Amino acid sequence: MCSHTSRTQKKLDSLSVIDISVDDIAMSTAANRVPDDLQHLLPLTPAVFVILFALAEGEKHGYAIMQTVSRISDNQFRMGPGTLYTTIQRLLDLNLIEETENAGGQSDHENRRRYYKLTRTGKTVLAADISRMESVVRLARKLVPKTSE
Amino acid sequence: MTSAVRVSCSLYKMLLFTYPRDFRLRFESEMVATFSDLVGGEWEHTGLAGVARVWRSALAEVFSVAVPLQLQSSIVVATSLALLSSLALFMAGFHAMTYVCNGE
Repeated sequence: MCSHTSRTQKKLDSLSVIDISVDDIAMSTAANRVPDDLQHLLPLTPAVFVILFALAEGEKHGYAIMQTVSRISDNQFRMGPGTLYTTIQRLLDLNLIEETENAGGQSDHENRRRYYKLTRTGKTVLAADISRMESVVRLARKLVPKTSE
Repeated sequence: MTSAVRVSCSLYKMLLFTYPRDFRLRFESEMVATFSDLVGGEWEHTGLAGVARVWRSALAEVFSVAVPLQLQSSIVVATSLALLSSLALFMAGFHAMTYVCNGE
């Protein structure tokens, strides 16, 4: 794994700015661990990314996901219940998240809540996208001195 | 729960009829509960302005989420096409009759 990472790093170092494309970034090492049928998800859409990111903290119900998304994005990213639950449905279908057995509370309002958590595949996909973004930042930092010269 | 939140939730439940049936059956109660939390929180912290913002977002989602979801359903597309073609035929017939009547 370590040698593979250093090989990739050498490959990245040897590329000129012109040679680098977003596709090259998407093909980074972490992305290779993502199942083939889920590769098309990368890069993740903002809604998918923030929901997976929010659930990385632990299992949550819909409103808690929205609050976490609002907090981690410094109130820059807001979504309504429609966007939230259509994305949740898609993530459930893709087996990136799953419903937990958490029974909510005693009140009727609490009972209507369902809790979700990341699956192993969901964690892998999230890690792959974070790795992709790290590659972007690394490449961008290399690019900035070149453009300022 | 204040009456404003209760009324908002009832109206939102009606708005959910714009979403496809399968989706509604699966997520309706959760969406209403989440909307209720959202409206309740905004009412408490920012008052009417916050509630208005939540409603603006919910109404925008009808066009950005519910309509595209409905259009994925072939039955809805077929029904819409049938209605539109019927309307077009009616308009063409009406136009032709007007033209004939004016000619006489």
